[in-house]
Amino acid sequence: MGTDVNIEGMMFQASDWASASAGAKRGSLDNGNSAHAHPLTPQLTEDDLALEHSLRPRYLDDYLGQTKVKDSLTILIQAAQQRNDTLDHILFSGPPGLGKTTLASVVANELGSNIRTTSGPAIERTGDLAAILTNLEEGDVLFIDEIHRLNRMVEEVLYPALEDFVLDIVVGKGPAARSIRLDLPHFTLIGATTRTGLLTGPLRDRFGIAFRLQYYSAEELAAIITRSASILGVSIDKEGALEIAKRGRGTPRLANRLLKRVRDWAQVRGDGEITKKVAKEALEFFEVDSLGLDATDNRILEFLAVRFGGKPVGLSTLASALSEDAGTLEDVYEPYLLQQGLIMRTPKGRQATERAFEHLGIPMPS
Amino acid sequence: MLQQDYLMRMILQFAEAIRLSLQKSNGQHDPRAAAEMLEAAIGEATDIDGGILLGLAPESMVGIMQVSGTDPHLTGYIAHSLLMSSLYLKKANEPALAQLREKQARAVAFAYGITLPEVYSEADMEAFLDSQEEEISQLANS
Repeated sequence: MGTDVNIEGMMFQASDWASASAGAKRGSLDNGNSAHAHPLTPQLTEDDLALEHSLRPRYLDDYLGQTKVKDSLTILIQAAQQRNDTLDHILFSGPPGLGKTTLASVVANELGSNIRTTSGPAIERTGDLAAILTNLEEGDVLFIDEIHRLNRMVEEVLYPALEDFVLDIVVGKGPAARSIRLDLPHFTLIGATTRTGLLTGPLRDRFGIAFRLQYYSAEELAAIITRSASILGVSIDKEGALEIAKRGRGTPRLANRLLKRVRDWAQVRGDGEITKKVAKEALEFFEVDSLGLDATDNRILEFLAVRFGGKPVGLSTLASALSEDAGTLEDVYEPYLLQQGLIMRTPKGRQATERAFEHLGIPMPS
Repeated sequence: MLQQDYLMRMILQFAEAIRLSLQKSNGQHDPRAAAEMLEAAIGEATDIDGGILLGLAPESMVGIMQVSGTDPHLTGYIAHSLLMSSLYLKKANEPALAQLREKQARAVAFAYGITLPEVYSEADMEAFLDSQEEEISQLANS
């Protein structure tokens, strides 16, 4: 039988955890020099980190797009505050770059709480999680990015922490072993994942609220680009913003990155102002086509349409042919191509659609 | 009697770990390994996975030690070892972890009424070990 220990909220900051988390974040960055990375590179680059930090909205009112999610969060936060209760644990899922991390910090700001950020792969051992949890303060928000990559042993420790705000610690060994229960401050866990399917059922069930973030419309992205341009001090007109937005693949991270590249182009080749013409020329220069597809996307379409003659192709075959990782194809490239109706998933594999043939300008085999 | 023997063994193991850690740090110039040696000894003495115990916030760590019934004869060793580990970690260029160990040491000292110097050195650890010799012999004879 465990014993309860009441421990007051901690003032101590686990800086070793913070640095581990920072290391993990750095570890997930694009290794290449971001200045030379393609503007549609899906991976988070060092450049993105600095850019996103300055452009990130702080409160729900500043957040553009994801209206349904925003409305729901507004109600849930207000209800929790009125009850003087902690907000239920939240899971944000969706493709990279849609604002899961941003929403987590927005929620913390709306609650007036501290946010502690870490990621699934950074929490290697149960001790790491115990350190994080015991260093939280009452009402804190704990954000775990890539939560589907949490180690299973660590996940087991997390369950009682999420449900009852307690941490079970085993004292002794063998037959003399017993469990001691340590009370934790009440906190809100916000998990973010690009792969909901990889979350275990028990972990998924412990989130009281789950939101799937959707791709942004071109109009929403244009509004985001206009806001970012004003923060960056870049002159842009409505059509210029819309032209970039249309090629931003429904993703704010990519749209903001394109904005920076177009700004650079406009600065060197133009007068610094971004118009529709400038945006179009700049994006063509950077090989971002009218649908926002980059060279890899177009290669995928060409392989499916030309090399495999429009027949269905298995994911691993396609990955080998492209010398790409199957997981990267599935997580990074495929969602947008599917969303655009350029490819389809069939029981026999991936297949190019009529729209893909039209986009490539080649006839569809009969 | 069994309890007494167990305690004696624990204290002697702890003292040995401290001595070996001093050798590691000074003789082999490996302060990281010296800190790990002390941390393993703390895990043994408390019978709790060192990786978990030493990751806890200072107050939580003390809470767990109190509830699990860590013997008061060992708490002095634990507090001094944590502070010594902090010294080693500073040498190993791990300031964040060193700071955590120092806070844990002071939390243990506060909870168990142990006096620790503001600025710690290896000489303080040696003085502590000397001061414990009489207690060890009393324990051995009781």
